[in-house]
Amino acid sequence: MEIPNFVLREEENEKLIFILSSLLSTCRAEAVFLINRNGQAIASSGKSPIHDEQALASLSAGSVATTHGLARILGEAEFSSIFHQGTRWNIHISSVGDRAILVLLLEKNKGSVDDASLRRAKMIIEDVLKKNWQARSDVSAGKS
Amino acid sequence: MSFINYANREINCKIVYYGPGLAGKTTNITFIYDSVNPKSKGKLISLNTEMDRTLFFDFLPLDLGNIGGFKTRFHLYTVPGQVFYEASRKLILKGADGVVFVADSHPDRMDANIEAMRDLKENLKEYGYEIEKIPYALQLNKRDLSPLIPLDSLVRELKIANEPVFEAVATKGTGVPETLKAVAKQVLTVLKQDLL
Repeated sequence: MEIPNFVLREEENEKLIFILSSLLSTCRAEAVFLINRNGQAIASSGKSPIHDEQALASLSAGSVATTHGLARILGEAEFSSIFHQGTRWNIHISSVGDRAILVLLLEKNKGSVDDASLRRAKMIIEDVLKKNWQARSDVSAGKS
Repeated sequence: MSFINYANREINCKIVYYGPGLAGKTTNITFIYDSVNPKSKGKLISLNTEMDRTLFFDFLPLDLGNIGGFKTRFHLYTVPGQVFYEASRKLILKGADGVVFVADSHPDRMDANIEAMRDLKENLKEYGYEIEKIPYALQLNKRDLSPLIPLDSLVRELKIANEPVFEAVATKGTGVPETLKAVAKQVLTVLKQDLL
């Protein structure tokens, strides 16, 4: 197959969990999930009331793709975030570069999105994933 | 594109069931879901539209063993078969590690089979895949129908290269596990080459 697999090493996972935990604390979120655009859960932090993280990952990826389609209809490059409000839970979903998605699960009247922390977290995550992707692409190129 | 996670020693692979509307993709998935040990599977998620359903779930097949100390988790998806859900089909196909094409054996559905096959090839190409190179199996479903498209006609129209072909009656589970095992085996072979 031409497209390299996504390989997450333990040290990268630790870095990602550290970033997610820090975001979890500044936003007072219940849980933070990092997923890829294909709908696979990469890493998470917090105590999620959702027992099936894979389902959350797939549905969030679908939601981002749908929103991307809506943006294109309007001539926008993309809508960078989606916010769902419920009676008890809110979900904030945002793109991290073009390969990942960050999902914040917030309890209503408790947690809120801290824009500066979110932006910083996304920058660091993007950097980790970019390096990961580059390393993998180099390995693939070397193989072929 | 599999997701290999060294932190939890797990490999995540995505298998997509593709085919024309009402060919039995959902029946395949629900049969597998019901056969899997409840402890090793996630929830069966169903996204309903007016005409069709998109289903997915993930599971850890216990009988496939480990690859280099990694557990393998399979994520099974169906696509909505109706022609007008093309955008959804394309989206679900993204990142697929293996594909099963479920064909309908009813004589009236031959054109729909051919159109869905053309659609699959085009969508894969857009993601940079070639159907001849990815793990793939062809399932000829509804073999209990009467009238029925003869086996050799279906194979002639739909078989691409040397992919495994299975006759199936998905409502009874006939040919369903065999099809999944065939494509899963190919996915694991690709992974082993990549990992070991």
